[in-house]
Amino acid sequence: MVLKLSKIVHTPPMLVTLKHIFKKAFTVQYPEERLEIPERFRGLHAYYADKCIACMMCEKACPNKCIQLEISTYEIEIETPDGEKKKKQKKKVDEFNIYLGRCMFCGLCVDNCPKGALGMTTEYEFSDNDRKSLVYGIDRLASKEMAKEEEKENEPEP
Amino acid sequence: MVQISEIPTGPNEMILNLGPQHPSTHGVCRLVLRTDGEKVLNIEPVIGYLHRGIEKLAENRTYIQFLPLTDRLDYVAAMGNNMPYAMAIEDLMEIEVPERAEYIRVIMLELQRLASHLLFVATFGADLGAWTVLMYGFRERERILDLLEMVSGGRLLYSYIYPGGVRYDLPEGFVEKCRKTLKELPKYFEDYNDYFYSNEIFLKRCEGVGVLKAEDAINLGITGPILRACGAPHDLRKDDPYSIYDQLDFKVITEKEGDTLARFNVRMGEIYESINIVNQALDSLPEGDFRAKVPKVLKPPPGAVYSRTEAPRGELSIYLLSDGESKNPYRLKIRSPSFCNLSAFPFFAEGDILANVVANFAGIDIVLGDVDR
Amino acid sequence: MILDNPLVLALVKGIVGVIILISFISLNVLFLTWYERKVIARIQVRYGPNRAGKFGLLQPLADTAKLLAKEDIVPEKADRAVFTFAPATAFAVALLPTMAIPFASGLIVSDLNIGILYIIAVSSLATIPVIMGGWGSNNKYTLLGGMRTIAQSISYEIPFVLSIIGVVALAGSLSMVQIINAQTNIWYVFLQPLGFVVFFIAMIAETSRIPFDLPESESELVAGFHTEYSGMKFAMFLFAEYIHMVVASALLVILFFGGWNIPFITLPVIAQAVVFIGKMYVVMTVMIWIRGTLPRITIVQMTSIGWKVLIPLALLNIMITGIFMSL
Repeated sequence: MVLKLSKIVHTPPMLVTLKHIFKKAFTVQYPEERLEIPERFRGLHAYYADKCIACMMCEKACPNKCIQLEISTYEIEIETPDGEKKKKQKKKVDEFNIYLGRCMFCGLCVDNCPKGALGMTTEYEFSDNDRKSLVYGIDRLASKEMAKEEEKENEPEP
Repeated sequence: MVQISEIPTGPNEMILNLGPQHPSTHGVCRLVLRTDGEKVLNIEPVIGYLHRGIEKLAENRTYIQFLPLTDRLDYVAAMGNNMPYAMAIEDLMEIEVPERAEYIRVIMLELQRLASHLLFVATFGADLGAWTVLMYGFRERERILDLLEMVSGGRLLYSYIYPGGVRYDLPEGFVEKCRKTLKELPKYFEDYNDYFYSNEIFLKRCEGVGVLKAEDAINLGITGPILRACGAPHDLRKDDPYSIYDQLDFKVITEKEGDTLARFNVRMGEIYESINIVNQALDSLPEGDFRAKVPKVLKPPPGAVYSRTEAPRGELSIYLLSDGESKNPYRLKIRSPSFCNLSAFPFFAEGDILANVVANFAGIDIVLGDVDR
Repeated sequence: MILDNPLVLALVKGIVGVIILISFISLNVLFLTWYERKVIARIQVRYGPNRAGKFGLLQPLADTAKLLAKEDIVPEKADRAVFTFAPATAFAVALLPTMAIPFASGLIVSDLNIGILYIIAVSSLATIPVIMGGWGSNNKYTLLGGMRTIAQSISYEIPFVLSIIGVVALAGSLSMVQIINAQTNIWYVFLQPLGFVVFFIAMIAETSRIPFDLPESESELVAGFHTEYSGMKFAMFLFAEYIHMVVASALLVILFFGGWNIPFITLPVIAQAVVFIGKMYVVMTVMIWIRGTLPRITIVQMTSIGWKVLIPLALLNIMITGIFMSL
């Protein structure tokens, strides 16, 4: 009866809300159920220490200056093809800190990394009680979830 | 202009503060009202509670670093803010944007317009006292935000439209999902039509509230749906077309009365037009590059450019002045639509009762991030 | 025995009756807060309270505990006496009409033979605590809320009373029990449709529900006349509002829907009480449904509806009833 009535006359607003009482709720009961996150979501960073060459491009690219690297240089001896021994300076990353309290998750650091050592994961639940604990070092930045292979493909070419 | 609080009040008058924290100012906007019982005699908006100095920050950031900051202007319709900035840089550096990128940009902009007008519908109902419309409007908006999240990675602030094109290509499955969502949406909008237009109380509350004539609106600098609701068919997408809007077929919705109901009708009509435009763009989406070849560090040659776009709230334009040597903009000025609309608000809202002032304020649809920058 | 003395018997019966009545009404009001939130949530396609206890049924207890624990703030320049007495007056005045409402034949605290007149007289006292709260808070928003209440209550008292005259004329008595007994064969809603419509609208306006909730319009006046109240005082105002809602729906059921009568069936007392409460809840569900749907009207529209539309309709109703009864 209700359906037929709505075809003849404009369904008045009370019938609209009555229809909605019997529909399934649209909200999600958060801690027990979670929504699906698409792949490209810009969440917590992922840092791959083996790919990083300490070029400091991410630190320069950040608009809020939240990334801080401590690097140290050390010398190694290599042999050139001619047979001479030369000293070469190599850089090593001591500390890599991102201050998540200031980060706006824009992804510019990820775009500017030439070796793909930074990525962004779909992790978004990292609230904490203290500002100091929001400085994430190398050990805490998620590096097992792969960030974006396609991020590498879509990087703007220099 | 004299401050309202300095004018001595007559015997029956009272100064009421629709304060910064209020359920129905869309953000932190303070309206100082001088009322005589229920009738409002003077309105004075006091702004600046959300000022972050974006134009000054631009002088200390490189061009690409500033792009995520433009998102934060009109945070409800963020895609539309990247566009004039990207267009300004492309004008200065004479970069040719590939066609696929233009189509993707138009799809994103029109989806964003849809989402922004849905937010308007939701908050408009909430300000009038119908809390259910708030929930329904946000439910529809969620479906669109899911699409935008799939493409750009963010739900509210995207930083997706870059100078030269877009930041990433469309992911797989986007076109099908977009078509499916757009096919389901009109069914929900039938609900809105029934809800609003058969509701006598709603119609009576909006008719005749805040009537504005077209010449007054043009003289006051009002743009966007408010101007189109007064009868002036001014839409930058048709009058000064940018991107590929000249190749798409759509109507400019105008109404004649100029009151709050007309503004509501214009926005509802624009929702349907946006669905139409996105379907057309999806049909003719070409293959190709998604971004032109752009140097890593942008250094435009010296010059000044003013690029105009039609944001969901009105005309959003950026004036960019570069001196050719530094990596930062020399001066960036943002002409935001909500600022100009809010400054004209007292002219057509005074002299009415308090409830109508609130309905009027909801009808002009401003966002405080745009007003205060 | 001391209980043989009729005066003492009446006194004891009265006190016990009052205690049972107040607990019953309070239980109803607590349940109603949960029920309203659930129904409105389902209209808005969400769940409503479902964390405190199974289905959120312990939510009213959680709310009470929270309100008891809140700090009691009195603004500095407020009129302390008026400010403090307003919630107490609201609660007391709201409970007065419940004394004369029958929940089943015999379940009534005091069976006055001018029952309906008493209820109308006492329910018009309900504006006083609102004005006290509005004025005593020393706040422009609350003052506006208080003023709006006066305008609204006065405008809708008259249709409220006039629409009852038709029912009273048909039943031939002012006593509540008599009115219910006169509806054993047919409910008065079929005999007085115009009176029913006028009474329904006037009732929503008297209890300040949406679409007539100008006194506490949330998006315009923050919270209307109870902006400055916190903690248990606020809870008193809330209780008073829900008690008004219960009383008004009980009145509607008694006057127009036959009280506990179902046509052609006689019921025992327990079933009568169940039927009565069931009908009351149906009426309250409709009021909540209206709250979830419609927006709020402005004060100009409210006064024009009250004076220009409802009073003529109520007078027309009386005239038609008079004509029919004399035939």
